[in-house]
Amino acid sequence: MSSTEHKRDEDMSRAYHAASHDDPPAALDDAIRAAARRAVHARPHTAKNPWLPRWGSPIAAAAVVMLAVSMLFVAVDERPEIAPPALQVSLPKSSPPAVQLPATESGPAEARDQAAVAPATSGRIEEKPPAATTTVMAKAVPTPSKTTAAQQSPSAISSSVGFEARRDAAAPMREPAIIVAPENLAKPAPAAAFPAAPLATPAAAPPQFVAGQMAERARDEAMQLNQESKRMMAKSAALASGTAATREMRQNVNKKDASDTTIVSTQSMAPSAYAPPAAAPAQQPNAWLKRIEELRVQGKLKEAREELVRFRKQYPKIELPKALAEMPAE
Amino acid sequence: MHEADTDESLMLRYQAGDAAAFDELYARHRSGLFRFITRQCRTREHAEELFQEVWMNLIQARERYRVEAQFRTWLYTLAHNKLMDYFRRHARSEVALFERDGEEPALNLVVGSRVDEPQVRAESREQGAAILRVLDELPAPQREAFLLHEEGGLGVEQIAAAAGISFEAAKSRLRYAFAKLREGLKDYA
Repeated sequence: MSSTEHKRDEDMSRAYHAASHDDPPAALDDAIRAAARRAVHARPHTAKNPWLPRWGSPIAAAAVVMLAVSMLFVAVDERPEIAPPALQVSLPKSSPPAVQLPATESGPAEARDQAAVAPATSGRIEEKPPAATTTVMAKAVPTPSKTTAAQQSPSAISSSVGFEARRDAAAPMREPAIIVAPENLAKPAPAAAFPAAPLATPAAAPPQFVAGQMAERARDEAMQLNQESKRMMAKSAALASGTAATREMRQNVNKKDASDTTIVSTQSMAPSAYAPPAAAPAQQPNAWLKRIEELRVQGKLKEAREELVRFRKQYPKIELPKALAEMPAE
Repeated sequence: MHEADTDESLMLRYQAGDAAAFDELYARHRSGLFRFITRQCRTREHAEELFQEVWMNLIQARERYRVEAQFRTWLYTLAHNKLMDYFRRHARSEVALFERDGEEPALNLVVGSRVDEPQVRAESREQGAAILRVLDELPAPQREAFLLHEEGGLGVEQIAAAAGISFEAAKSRLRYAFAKLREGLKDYA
């Protein structure tokens, strides 16, 4: 394009723009502007809250994480505390409250020596996770007076450090009351457990004495418990036999009469069928007959007859002893 | 409202809900777009109708607007599409001209043109009025290219984008349009 043509094009453009003045009518302008405003205002919040779509998701994610963490903390706090690995010796309340090892120079190390044998106890030890026993036993010992490092053996020092660390970590509320096994207190600590630790010193004698008494009490209680369990077993057996007799009696009555069944079963289910000691043997035919015979011999003829009538109802097919069969009627 | 605001930033603000930004955009482009449409429609009523439809299309499509091209290119693309629909409804012969992309007719403006008529020539004494008459006689694709250039302020590349044609085709249309206008107005120079 030559410069002349270019100039003529520019002139033509100017001429065109000079001649072209058409504009849209004002009403059309208003209608279009109004439509534009309506479109914007009809859209809710997207313009006024431009941060919302940008930050909504991160905020929601953060809220979820915080909620989860807080719930985790709550769950941890509310979780029942792990019971101290209790070697709970169930002693009477009047007994000495605790076996308190005196603070010796070996201090915690000795306590650990004592505790090391605790898991091997028997009797009423309720719970004994071996791993935790050492720590718990150490806590049962009063905090030793401070000793210099020179007074302690190297292992005692290390044990003492470990003891302090565990004691700091544990809450005071968790310290068990007594966790000592009587027999084991008398035993010397095995050398293999803490070879370098000093073994029982004369200061450990009083615990041995107390432990002997405790062991004696434990044996007594075990014997009492054994006797009590035997009584319970006997009761259970009697109850079982009574129940069997009741069942047999109920079957017999069912065969006889439905109306009697109600009565007899009611009787058999009554507490008297279980409770009185005399009622249970009476349910067995031979014992029952023997008891009736005793009544007859004792001259209690009326009671004997009543019992005999009941017996015949219960066991009509059993042949009566001659003495009872010939027992005169009233 | 800052004068330095570009069309694109105004459109983004309107997209974000700023109605005032639309008012500014509308003020900038209303006259050019209206003339662009009016010069190609047979009646003013149709032109106003198309003009409104173009702006309504823009309003409805604001969410999809991305700054990938100049705003005015996008605006005149919408107008071009509306005009093509209009031509299909009312002037299928002009649509055929648009479809013959690159096959520009010879400069036959003078032959049989109304511009040559003595009565018309008498009415178009002034160059401004004459150029409008000559423009009206241009083939629709060339007229559109000229109007995109003059009313829309688009360059050849943008004309090609708005009209959906190649760069060469846009360049050819624009060149032919100017040539015919020069030819038709040489008597008024």
